[in-house]
Amino acid sequence: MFAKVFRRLASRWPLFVAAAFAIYSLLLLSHVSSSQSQLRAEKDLRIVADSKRRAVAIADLVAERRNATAELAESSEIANYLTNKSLGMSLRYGLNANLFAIEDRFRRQMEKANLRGEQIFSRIVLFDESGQVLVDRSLEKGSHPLPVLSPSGAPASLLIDLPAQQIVVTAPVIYKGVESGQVAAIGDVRQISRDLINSDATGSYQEFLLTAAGQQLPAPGNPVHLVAAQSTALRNIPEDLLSSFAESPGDDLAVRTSVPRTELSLVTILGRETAYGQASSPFFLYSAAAFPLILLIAAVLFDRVRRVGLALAQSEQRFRTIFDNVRDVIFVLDVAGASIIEANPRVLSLYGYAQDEVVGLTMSDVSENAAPESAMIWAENVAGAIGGKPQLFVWRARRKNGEAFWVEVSILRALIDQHDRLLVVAHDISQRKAQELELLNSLEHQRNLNRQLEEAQSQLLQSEKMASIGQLAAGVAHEINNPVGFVNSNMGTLSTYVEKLLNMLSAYQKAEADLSPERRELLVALRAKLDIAYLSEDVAALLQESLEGLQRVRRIVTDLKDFSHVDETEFQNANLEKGIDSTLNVVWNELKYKTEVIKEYAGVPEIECLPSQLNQVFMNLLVNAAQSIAERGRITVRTAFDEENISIEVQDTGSGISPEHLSRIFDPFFTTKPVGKGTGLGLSLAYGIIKKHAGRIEVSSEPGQGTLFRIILPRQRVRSAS
Amino acid sequence: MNSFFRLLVPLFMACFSLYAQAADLKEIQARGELRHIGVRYANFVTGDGDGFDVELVKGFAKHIGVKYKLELSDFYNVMRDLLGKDVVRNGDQVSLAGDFPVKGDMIATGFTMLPWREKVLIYSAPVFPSQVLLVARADSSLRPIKGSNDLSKDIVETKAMIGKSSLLGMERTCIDPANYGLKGKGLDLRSYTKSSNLNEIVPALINHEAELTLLDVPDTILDLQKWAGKIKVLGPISEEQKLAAAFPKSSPELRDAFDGYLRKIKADGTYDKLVDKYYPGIRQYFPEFFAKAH
Repeated sequence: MFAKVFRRLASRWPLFVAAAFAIYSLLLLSHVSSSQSQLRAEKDLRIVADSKRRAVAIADLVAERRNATAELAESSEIANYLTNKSLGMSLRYGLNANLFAIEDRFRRQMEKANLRGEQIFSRIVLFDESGQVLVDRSLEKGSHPLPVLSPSGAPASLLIDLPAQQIVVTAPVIYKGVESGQVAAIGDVRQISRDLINSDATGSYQEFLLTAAGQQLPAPGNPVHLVAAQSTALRNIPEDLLSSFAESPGDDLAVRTSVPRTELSLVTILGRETAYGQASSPFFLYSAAAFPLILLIAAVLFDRVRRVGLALAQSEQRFRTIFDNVRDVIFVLDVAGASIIEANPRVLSLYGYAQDEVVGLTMSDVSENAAPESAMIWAENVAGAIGGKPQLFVWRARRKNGEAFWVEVSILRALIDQHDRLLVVAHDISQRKAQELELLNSLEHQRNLNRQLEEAQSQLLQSEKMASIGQLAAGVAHEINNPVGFVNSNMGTLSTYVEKLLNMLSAYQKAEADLSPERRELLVALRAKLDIAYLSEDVAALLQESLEGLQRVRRIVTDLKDFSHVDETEFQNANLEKGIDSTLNVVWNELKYKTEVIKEYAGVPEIECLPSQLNQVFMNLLVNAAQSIAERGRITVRTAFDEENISIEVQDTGSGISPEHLSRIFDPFFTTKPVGKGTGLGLSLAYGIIKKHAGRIEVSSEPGQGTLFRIILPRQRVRSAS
Repeated sequence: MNSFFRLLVPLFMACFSLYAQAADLKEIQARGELRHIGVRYANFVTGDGDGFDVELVKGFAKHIGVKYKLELSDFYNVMRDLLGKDVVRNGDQVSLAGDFPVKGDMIATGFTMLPWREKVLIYSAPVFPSQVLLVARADSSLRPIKGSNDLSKDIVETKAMIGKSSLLGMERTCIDPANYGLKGKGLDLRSYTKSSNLNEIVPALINHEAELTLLDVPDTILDLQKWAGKIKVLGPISEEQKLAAAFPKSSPELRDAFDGYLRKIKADGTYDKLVDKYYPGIRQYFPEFFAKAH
């Protein structure tokens, strides 16, 4: 039992030592405090006595000024002036001389009255009874402003003018028992304080004067400058008693002593060390008494700190285990340099770096950095994390062997071991990214298939539409062809008949001479009435025009048949220039009003093709060319051939195609025409037809100048193309 | 024997007179001594070996490289001591008479520049300003004038106050009433003859030898202190005057040398120090004169 208690107490030995030390120290300090209190009381009395003696010395300085001023006020020069004035002498003729004498007296007084070589009066002024200046003698004109005087009454009064830093002593001038003016002697107020002690270097002993209002008199040298609160506090401390001056920076002592026969107070501020020497202050003794207790508290705190340190070490071990075994890579980065300070062991398996290898690298060294914007993305995320907002983003990392892989990176700012760090956690998502990529490829493939299907469907629809139009045109041509055939035949026969009838009519006319005059006149009148001569001429012309009209109808029908080729669904030899002509005829109505069509045929040989579909191509190109011409232009159709290919060019002088549209004009449904004017399928369909012939279609255009389409087709059919 | 002396004495006097005649600059420099004729008067020549004019001429002697010697005279004989002739004044007419020993080379003693004097001697540039004032005892019933900005008016007002009062003056000096048109006007003029010392005029006035007297300004400045309560200044009798050094007409080079010296000391401040030393306050009394001096 005893041993157990002893062990418990023994473990707390610092506390017992500290307690014993405290009791011993308190006893010792109590004795020292008693001795020093007695010593202080004696020093207090001596300091106050010194202050009183110095206040008397200052009073003597002031009295010296009073006496000198009173002496001037009673001088014979002033008395002479007043005497001569009382005799009625004018200022100009007489009194001036007296005033000059007074000024000279003032001058001599100023030269005589000095304090250790420095004149105590810098200006002496004589005022008359109304306050007018009669004599004004000064060392330097304007150096001191004149005081505002009040009626005196006192033998010699003292005025402290702090704004002007001057001390003014006034004395009344008495002539025949009546106050007849005042003498004011002005000096530098700092002279009063020149013998006061100011220990500039340490500030431990300062003497200065205070007015009744608590204002500090300026003094030579560099005395203490009081703030208003300090002045008030000093003015209110008890007179002739050493007091604590709480408003001082160093908790100094102060004593205030009235300067006899003035309203001034002499204030002495002195440091406690200055006052009491090296004697320990009560505060020091109290502080010393607290030291053993502080020591005891320190011992207890030391024990507690030791326990806290142990707990911290255990905690650090726990987190270290997590850090080393987590599946993600954790980088610890320096915020300032962004270099890697530490990484967990997982960095070896994921990045291929040993832990010590990665230290000093930057994240750029373990990133792919394929694109320039990568650095910017990384920097933005780092900046966000430094700004206090944790960041999460996908990143392309790089292993030591250069292999790139995907990671999901989180960055956050953390305080680690009292250092500002960035914590970068990289989670491997390579597998997930591979799956995503595969899914995206599949989706893209699906989209392409859908687009091709839509294109094929659209072209099919257009092709069927054109085929329907072709069939309709062919049907119309066929139906018109029969009636036109027999009308044409009949018109030929009718021409023969009319010619014969006209011959007969001519014979009848020649035979009219053989008729009786009455009959002949009757016939002549009837011929004139019917205008047979005109009819004879016009009927031939009418027949000729009708025949020509029929020829045109027959040609149109033929062109419609040639254009549609409804009966030509298989490849067959055809002359493309003929097909172009047919197409021009079909679309002539679109062209004739604003275009001039120039045909530059090279006489291309026939090729094996689908004529009706190529005609559709020509028609689309011609109509587009016509529509690109705003008012009046030219369309040139040019053919050429060589041993392998033939080419057809359609060139217009229209508005052209802008560069951004040029690459898209063969896309299905792309059109720059207004809504309702174009389907966007014409050129797409043409492209498909030319591809079907194993040919190609080229385009060059310059906005404002025109467009050139060139179709190149092989002379020999390429079977695989079909 | 008597006959012998009758012949010898004039011959000796003539030789002595020739030897002692006032001389021009070169002769003085050859002689090595400048003789300054002064009259004990105010602070110009105090009689104690100093004074404004004493220091002025001492400086001039040093300037021209000769020794200085003061010959004291009085206002009755000061011109005779310079010229060796008695100056006889009859109204505006001035003539020289008799032969007398020449005692000095120049006069400098608060000597007023007066027109009649200029008929027999030459002046230097003005050295000092002055003005003559009418002074009475303090118990006189006469009241000092108020003073105005018009000096002529003040003079008329002052002169009018004399009336039947007796006026004490000193002939042939600056306070000679004849200088200011007071002679022949039926005034009770009294000449002080007990002494030629102008400093005795105020005591004579206080001693009831007359009711009024004349004083010039430099003297008044001193006397108003000295006799304060005993005398009073009634007003001006003259216009502002100029005091200057005087030379015989035979000494123009000496006069010119003096003028040169005067310009020099005005320029270097010596002149101002002399003024302030002997007449503090005079500068304010005649501000225009001293302004011109600078």
